[in-house]
Amino acid sequence: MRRWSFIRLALGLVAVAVIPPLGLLVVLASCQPQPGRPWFWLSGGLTVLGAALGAVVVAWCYYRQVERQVDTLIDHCHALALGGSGTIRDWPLGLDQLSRLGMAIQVLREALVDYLSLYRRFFEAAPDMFLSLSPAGGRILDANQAFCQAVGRLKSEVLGQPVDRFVTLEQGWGAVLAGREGLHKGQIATDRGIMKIEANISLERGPEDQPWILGAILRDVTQQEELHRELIRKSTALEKALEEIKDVEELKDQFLTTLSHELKTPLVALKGFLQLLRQGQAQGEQAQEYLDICWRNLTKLERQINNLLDLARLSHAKEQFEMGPVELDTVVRTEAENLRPVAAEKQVRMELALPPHPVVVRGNAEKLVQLVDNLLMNAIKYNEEGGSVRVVLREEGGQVQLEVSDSGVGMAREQMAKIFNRFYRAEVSGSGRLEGLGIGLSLVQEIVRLHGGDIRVESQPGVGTTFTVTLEARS
Amino acid sequence: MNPMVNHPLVLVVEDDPDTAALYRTLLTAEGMEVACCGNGQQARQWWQAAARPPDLVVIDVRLPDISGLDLAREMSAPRDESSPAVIVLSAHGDPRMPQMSRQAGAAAFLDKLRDLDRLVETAWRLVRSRGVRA
Repeated sequence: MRRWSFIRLALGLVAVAVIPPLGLLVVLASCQPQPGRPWFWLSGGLTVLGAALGAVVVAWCYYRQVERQVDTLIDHCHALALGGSGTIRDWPLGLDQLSRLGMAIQVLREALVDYLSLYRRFFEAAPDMFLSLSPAGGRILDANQAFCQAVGRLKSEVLGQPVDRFVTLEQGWGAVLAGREGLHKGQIATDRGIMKIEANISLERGPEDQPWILGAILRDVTQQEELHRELIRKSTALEKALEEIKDVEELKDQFLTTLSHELKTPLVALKGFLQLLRQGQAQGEQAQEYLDICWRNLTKLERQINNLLDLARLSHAKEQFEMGPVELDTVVRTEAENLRPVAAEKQVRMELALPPHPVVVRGNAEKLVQLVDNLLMNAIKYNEEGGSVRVVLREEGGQVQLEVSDSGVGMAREQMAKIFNRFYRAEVSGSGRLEGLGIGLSLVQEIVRLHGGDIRVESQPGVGTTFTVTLEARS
Repeated sequence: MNPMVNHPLVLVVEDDPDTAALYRTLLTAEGMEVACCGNGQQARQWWQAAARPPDLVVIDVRLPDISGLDLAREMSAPRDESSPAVIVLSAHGDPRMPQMSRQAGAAAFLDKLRDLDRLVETAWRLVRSRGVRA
């Protein structure tokens, strides 16, 4: 292009330089040219024509050069508009105004390129994933590094692809592309698993309000959601713990009430009858009767206090218990005999099924007596008038099983989960009197644990309950 | 003097047989006629069958089948001359109990153990004030 313009300029100069001298030569050749002679007019005419022709050629060449340089600048501006960043190659050289215009465009270009690269850096370095999408088909027009890394693809593999190949939205891309801007939840399948995302979608419109480009900022919320779930899990656990604390508090209140009642009640009878005896208001048989009442209540009190103290000692394991061979069948027989009056008072029948030979376990005699006593007492207490208590003792495969069944009120499943809780006392329907601190079964459990044994309970409401204690037989 | 005041009828509702026996002994020694019931249901049945309403009802707050306070509310209403005076007894030690008993219509609240000595005196005071009203 540049070479041709020089040739055209040279031809113009030749025309200007050659044609007027040619006319002058014709004039000189006609010797003494005089006005009015033909040679004179011919030579004059040729000179003017040559000059005019030369001027036209020069003007045309100049015009063409300006047109070319303007075209170059326009082409360059178009290239810039389309995102090109190359410099102007055919730089306007000779024409000062155009050269300055070109320089201004160049400066503008540099500034735009600077801005562009600045935003590009933000775009690429952002930790969030940026996408620009075509509003018609949802194809990816541009994507930053964060997005390419998340999907594990090169940018060239991502551009031009439909966005739903990589990103799934809960509401589907159809609704979003139809113009539902705003925050959407979704996910991206990555090499490391599913990434939960939050997509902020905005639709950019063109100058005539036509959908131009869809911008999507995707944020990884996997950790956030995990935290959220963890928070919910912990707050649920806390709520449960709070409920349990409330239950324990309630149980504690109930226990204090029970304790107060159970300890004070025998004391009331003791105090009252002792006072009568002290004041000499009873003689002979009546005095003996009062003394019997006092003794009974004293024993009751002693039993409650012992249970309470034993439970405290056993739970803190502060005491070492002497272990030795204990004949469990004898313990059962003796305790059943001791409790027979209590059972008789409630009209409860007691049946024993004991093996003919001694059943020996290794344990603490006193604690095993307490265990059997509490189990039998419970079976009588929660029984109905006219009911029965059956005690079975058997030895099998190096293990001893003690089974205590009652034909009492029985328990529902949720109640069974609580019976070993300290201070828990089962609700009893009917009008039976319920004594005790609610620590009997808790104590039984502690004693079984102390002996390395196991206790289980089976019950059916309205049918009865069976407690089975398994202990190691003495080898 | 009003014979009702001389031989007042007392209903004792107490589930512990020894405590009930003690109250019976203490009140009988004072010339009172005493009936004992072990729970709320028995007390109601006794009331239905009784020839005359009691002048005084002594109720343990902790009964096996019903709250002693509910029974006190039931027995003290309607509040006219025919309704007996009610003493509520408790071994609870709950500081709210005296107020709760009064709200339930009881004329007196006594701690079972601490106020044992005041039972007879309180019973007489309530019976007499009732006798005067009658």
